[in-house]
Amino acid sequence: MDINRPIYLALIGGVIISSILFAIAFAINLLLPTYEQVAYIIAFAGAGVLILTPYLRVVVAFIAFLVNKEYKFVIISFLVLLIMMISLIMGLIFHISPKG
Amino acid sequence: MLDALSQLLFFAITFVAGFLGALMGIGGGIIVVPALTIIFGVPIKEAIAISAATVVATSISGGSSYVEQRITNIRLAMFLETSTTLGALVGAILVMLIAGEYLYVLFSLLAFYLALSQILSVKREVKKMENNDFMNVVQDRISKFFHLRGDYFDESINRRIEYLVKNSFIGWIISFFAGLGSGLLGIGGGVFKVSAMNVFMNVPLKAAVATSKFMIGVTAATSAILYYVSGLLNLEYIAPAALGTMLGAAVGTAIMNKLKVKWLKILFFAIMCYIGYNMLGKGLLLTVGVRLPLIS
Repeated sequence: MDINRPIYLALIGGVIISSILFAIAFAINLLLPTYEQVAYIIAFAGAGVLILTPYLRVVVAFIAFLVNKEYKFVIISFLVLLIMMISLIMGLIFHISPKG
Repeated sequence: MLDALSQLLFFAITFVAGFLGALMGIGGGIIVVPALTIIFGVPIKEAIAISAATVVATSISGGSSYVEQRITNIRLAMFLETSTTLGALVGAILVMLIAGEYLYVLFSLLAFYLALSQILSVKREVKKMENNDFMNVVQDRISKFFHLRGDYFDESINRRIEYLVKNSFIGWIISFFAGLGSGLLGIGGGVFKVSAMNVFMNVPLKAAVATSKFMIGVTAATSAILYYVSGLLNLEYIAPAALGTMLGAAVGTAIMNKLKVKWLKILFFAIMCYIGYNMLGKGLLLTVGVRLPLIS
C-alpha cells in the first residue's frame, strides 16, 4: 500500500471538517453578532477537530505501516503516539500552560 | 467581542503567516504571536495558545498538500518525530523546574549560525541538484537500517531530485533540541528542523521544508490540546486565525515547488536572522535587562 494516500486523507479530512466549522463560526460572528454564543460553540468544535487531526495522522500511519508489514516503522509510529499520550497525561496532571 | 474590521485584519495577518510558513516549512508563530500581543492587545499566554492551534492548522493544511505532491518524506518525518516529541515533553517538564531565559540566547546563536549556513550553501545546493550529487553520499547505519532516502520532482528545474539521508543521529539530536525549544520557550521548532535536515542530513531544501511542515503539527498539537482542555484557547480569535493560516498555507504550498531554491534559501536566511534577533532580544531583556530596538 502507498502510505501517502491514507495519511493524505487523514490530514485533508481534518482540514475540510475544521475549516467548514470555522467558516460557519466566522460567518456568524461577522453577519449575526447577536448569536456569538453559537459561533463560539461551533469554533470550539472546529478547534477540537483541528487539534486531534495530528493524533489521527499518527494512528493512521501506524495502521498503514502495519498493513505494509513495515515493522520498523510500526514501532516508530507507536513510539511517537506513546510520547504524545504521555505528554498529554503529564500536561493534564501538572497543568502545563504557556509561559509569558 | 471583535468587530468585523479587526477580524478581517487578523484573518489577513494569519494568511500571510500561513503563506510564509508554507514556503519555509515553519509554523508562523513568529508572526502570529507579536501580531496578537502588539496589535490586538491579547495577553501573551492566550497568544501562545492561539499560535499553537494555528501551527496545527498550517501544518495539516500545508502538510497535506506536500504529501499529495509527494515532496514530504514521511518515513524520515516519523523517525525525527520520535526525538522532537521527546524533546517537547522534556522541555515541558523542564519549564516547571528551570528558567528558560538563558536558553533564548543559546537558541538565538544557533539561529544565526543556521542563517549563515543557509546563505553560504546556496551555490552548493544548486550545484548538487544539477549534478545529482544528493545521491553521492555515504549513508550512515541508522539511515541504511530505516532506508532513509527519498525523491521529489522539482518543478523549478523540471528534474527529479533523489537523495540519501546521512548524519541521521546528529539530525535526530537537533530535532530533539527543536522539540525542547518549542516545549520550553514556545518557539517554532520548524526552522531548526528544516536546517537539521538540509544542512546536516543531506535532504534537499524543498523536501526538508515539506517534511518539517508535516512534522510540526505533532508537537504543536501536544501543547495545543492542553491549552484547549484548560480553556486558554480564545474562541474569538481561533476561527479567523485557523482559516487564515490554512488558506495561506494552501496558497504557499501551491507555489513553493515552482520557486528557485536560491530564493527560498535567501528568504530562509532573512527569516532566520529575524528569529535570531528576536530571541536574542528576549534573552538579553530577561537576563541582563538590556532592551534592543524593536523588542517588545
